[in-house]
Amino acid sequence: MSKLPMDIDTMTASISLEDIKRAHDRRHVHRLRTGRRRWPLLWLLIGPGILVMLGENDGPSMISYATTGASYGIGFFLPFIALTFAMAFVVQEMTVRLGAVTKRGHAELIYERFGRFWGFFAMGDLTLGNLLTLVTEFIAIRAGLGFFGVPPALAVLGALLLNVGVVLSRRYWTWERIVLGLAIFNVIFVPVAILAHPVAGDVIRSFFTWGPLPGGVTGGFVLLVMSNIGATVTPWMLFFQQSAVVDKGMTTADIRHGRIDTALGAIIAAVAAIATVIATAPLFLHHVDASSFQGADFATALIPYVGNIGATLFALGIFEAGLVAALTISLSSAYAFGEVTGSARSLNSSLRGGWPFYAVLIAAAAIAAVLVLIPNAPLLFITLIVNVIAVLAMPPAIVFLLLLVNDREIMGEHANSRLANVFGIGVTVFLVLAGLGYALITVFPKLLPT
Amino acid sequence: MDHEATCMTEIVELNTLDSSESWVHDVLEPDQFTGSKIPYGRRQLSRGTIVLLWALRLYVVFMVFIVGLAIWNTLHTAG
Repeated sequence: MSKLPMDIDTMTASISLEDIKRAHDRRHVHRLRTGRRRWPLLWLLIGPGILVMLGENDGPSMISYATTGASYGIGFFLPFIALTFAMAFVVQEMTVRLGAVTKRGHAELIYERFGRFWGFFAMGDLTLGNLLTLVTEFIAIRAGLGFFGVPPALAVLGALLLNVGVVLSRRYWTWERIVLGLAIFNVIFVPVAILAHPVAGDVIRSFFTWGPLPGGVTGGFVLLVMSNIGATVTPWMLFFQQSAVVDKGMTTADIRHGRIDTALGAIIAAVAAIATVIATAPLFLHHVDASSFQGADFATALIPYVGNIGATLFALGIFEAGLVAALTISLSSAYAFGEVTGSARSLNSSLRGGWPFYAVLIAAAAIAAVLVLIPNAPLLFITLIVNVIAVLAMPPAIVFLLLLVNDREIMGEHANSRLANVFGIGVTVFLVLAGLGYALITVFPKLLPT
Repeated sequence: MDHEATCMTEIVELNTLDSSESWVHDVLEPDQFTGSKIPYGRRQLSRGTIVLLWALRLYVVFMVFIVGLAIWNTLHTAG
């Protein structure tokens, strides 16, 4: 045997390859910070915030926004969607601080501070939510590419292979940049919105008046409210961003840039979401029944109003939304698995040391991909409930987050301020009330007009 | 590819491996090393916090029932 493996093993005992890769990234950050190179530094430090927000603009979310536009047109839901992204920023900013201060992922911190009992519940919510959501991402991939005549098996397996290929770069930085490059195509819905020729005055007016709301408050309206909240704030986002912040190597010195990253992500994602509502608003104006539409159905139905180019862009957007979310959500599952089992939890891990991490990441995506290809699988059913389940699982997840971010033993001076707690508790109360409202109209469906 | 070759490739890819490890220690904070995290330990949960966590757990169980009811209603209506 040559001398190299011994050297590697010795090195691994003190400094691992993962450490060296992270140190390499951090050295760039230090150099740019010392040289006061503001824009290149921002470029280096953005990533987790934009990815989590655009990752959450996923397949079911875009379908939800499209259904909103087709059901209510331009009005109440435009400012409401902006509000949900403001809530998402409030919540996600806390994960930046937690990751930068503790250098631990969300699952790891819950297990360490609350013990296995409560950690088990948190992980149960995450695992079920992630599996269902991943299935819907592959449904979106299949639907988006289906518009172009790509067979379902080819679409799904192609996306799975891309996921495997990106992950095998074994480098967080490379993975992040590739997925960022894909994620920015989420704004493809903006040109579709422009092609729908909205009246600018109506769009602007809706933000000031929070209206119109055609039909008033009905059961369908409450469902869409729930669906739009679930399209913006979900448990996997907490786990993903905190772990990604740690994997990227961000420290307390980077918190300001982490906030900018998260705010940028929220703004871009909100623009894409609002553009999707505007893009499908012509279906509302022309009384097209879109209640049972899937991804490709929207693209086809939009052809008379946005032309073939607009419809093609819409279908590409649905495909992109599913693909980016599949990449980020499968990674969040792998991060959580590594954190609770004490095994590798980084895209910088070597294949040998980190094989369980990579295996979980690929298996999570592969299981969802296979489920989508099973004939007669209840795909529509899963798509319908996934956003609702996300909203219902969110209050316990936010309470864990608030308890951790207020824990001065670990957070010190970076613990939540009073104002941050007001916003954080406000979001939690809002989510609980939304859930209870949904429960009321489910148990008493005649409470509101249909 | 065997372990030796894999490691060699990764090191060549990095192209920054110094013969000394000091630069890594200079750049990373102590708890950023994979093997050097000091455990925080369990947090003492107050009675109020435990009640809140249980209440939220019951909320989730209740809402799962509600989602099930909603699905049943939808399927029943569709049928």
